[in-house]
Amino acid sequence: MDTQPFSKRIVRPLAVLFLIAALTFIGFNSASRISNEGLFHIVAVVCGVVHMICVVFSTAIIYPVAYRRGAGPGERILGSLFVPVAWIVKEFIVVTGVYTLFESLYYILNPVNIFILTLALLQMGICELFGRRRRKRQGEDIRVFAVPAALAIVVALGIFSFLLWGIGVYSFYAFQEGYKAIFGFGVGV
Amino acid sequence: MTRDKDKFFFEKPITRRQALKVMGAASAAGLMGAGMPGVLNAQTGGKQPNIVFILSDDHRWDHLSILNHPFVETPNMDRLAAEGILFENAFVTTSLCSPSRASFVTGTYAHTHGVKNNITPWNNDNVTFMELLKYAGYDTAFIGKWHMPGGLPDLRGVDEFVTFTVQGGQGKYFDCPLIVNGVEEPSRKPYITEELTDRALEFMSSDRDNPFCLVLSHKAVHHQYLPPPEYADRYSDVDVDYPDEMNPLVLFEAQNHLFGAFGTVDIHYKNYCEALYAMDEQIGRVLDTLDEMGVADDTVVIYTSDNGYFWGEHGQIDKRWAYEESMRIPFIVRYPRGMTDAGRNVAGMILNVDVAPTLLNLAGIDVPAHMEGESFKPYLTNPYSLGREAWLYEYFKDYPYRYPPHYAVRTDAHKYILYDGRKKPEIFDLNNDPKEMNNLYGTPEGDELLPLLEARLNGFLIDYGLM
Repeated sequence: MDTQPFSKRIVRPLAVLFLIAALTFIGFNSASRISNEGLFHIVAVVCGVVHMICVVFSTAIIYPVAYRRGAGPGERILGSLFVPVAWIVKEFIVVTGVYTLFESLYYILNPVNIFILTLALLQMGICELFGRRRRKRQGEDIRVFAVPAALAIVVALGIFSFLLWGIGVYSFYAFQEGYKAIFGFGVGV
Repeated sequence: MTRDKDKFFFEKPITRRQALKVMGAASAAGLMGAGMPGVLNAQTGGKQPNIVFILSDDHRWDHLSILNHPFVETPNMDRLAAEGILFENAFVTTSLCSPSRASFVTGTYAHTHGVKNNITPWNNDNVTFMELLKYAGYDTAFIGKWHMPGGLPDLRGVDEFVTFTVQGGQGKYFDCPLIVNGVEEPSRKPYITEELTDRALEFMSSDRDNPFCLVLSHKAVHHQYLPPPEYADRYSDVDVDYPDEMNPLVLFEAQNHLFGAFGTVDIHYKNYCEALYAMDEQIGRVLDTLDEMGVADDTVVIYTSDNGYFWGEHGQIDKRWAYEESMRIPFIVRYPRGMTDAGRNVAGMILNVDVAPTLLNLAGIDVPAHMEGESFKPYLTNPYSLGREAWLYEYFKDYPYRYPPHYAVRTDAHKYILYDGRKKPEIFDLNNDPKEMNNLYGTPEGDELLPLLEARLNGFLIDYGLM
């Protein structure tokens, strides 16, 4: 497998994805300024869906591209997480407008963020297996099954079963209980 | 009424502080030493009314068929309004479940009763109207959603306490385990609204010599807005006209994605309306039972909700904000023996904090001085009563929701909202802009209105010790 330069195997695909995510974020949040209701809805839906795909399925996009271009496991993982983490950081910054720094840091652990990161983990496991199968088909002497990839899938499915229990209600209350355990009944209420 | 739990609140172990607070409230209410109800007016024949206070969850004010909602059916609430009085301008002082619920039962604002959000705990020193009614000779029951932080409360003066603690006190729509007078019991009926109604009817129908006060507090129609199976498709084919400003992906917007992101707005909204229809049916059972018991004329029935709800207005799903859809609630009162001109509407502004003083007032008990609400009893007999000119709204931080704390003052014509943090203040002309789409703050018109509204807001903040 040829290894392409760092800029090609990681930076370029990431830059493209990040740019699309940023533009669609702006589009989604500005759409309501369009006075024509039909156009507002079209722009909102298109931008919203594309933005969501960029954040939620970032791994499914970046990981295989990076894999094919010769990126190592560390690069593949970090590259896959870049856009979701950027989104989480954006959320964190917004939350600091209402809550203290430490409350905002705890906010990072909310079920939606965990869901996104878990989905990334699941995609990594699946993409890794597909990548290995592709290489084997191309004639490389490599085992398709890899313990870390299988483990990632199993762990992700386990976390999902908790996150989705009761349509997400229980994980939300677990998050809130954690907050109360750390911050009591709220800071500055 | 004979049962083990039938004893006065002061027979239960309470702290010295609690005792002093209760005695203070009772003394202020003119009960100490008398041991019996105070003055009862001539119209009611000197008889204390029974009280049925039905509180729903997240039912917004305009979702009643009597108010010409396009498809929602609420025949029993309509009946209640036709036989009673519909308050068109009823509001909550904090649009959030726990603070509002505490305000209903204590007659005080969140900054006073201390339940400022869905995390800060209920203070057992708080005095409820149930406690004071018990002291005045009532049999009392609280059945349903308590949902105030801090675990199960020490509800003094409540003979029958049926509630639930699962899912943070929100309960479950189906097979919700109950806590009946401190003991966990399975639900006898699968659907929570029917189960709670069954329990309420049992309490109402018990043999007794005393008047009764029932608080029936429904989980419906709160998220996850689940209707019973028989009504699950009632509105499936309805074509809903959502607000123009609603983003089709509103559930994925930052304010909304922490809940309700599973499913579409259309699915959730129709479920909400179907759950409302199911609750209305159960309210009909309560009204029918009062008729069968022959006590309807002597019973005050109040139906209301703990707050309103956005379904796309202002780009929101949820409540909390000081906009009309959120702070405004349905409010119907029926008391045939103690009211005139059934079927009329009242335009005067009443608040959730008014419920406790009103019920005490109707029971002939003086309202304790610490209660911040006002009795709206005059509205029941005098259609020309003058109401309040303005009132204070307050919202405190509620982790992890990213709504900035804010205060607002609402008059019958304007609203001024002052946010903590980066968000710009807002002024709305409610007569010309009822949907609150045009913020007048910073405009010449807004500049003209600002001094008076600011003075009113500051006046409230000073009066309530918040400034």
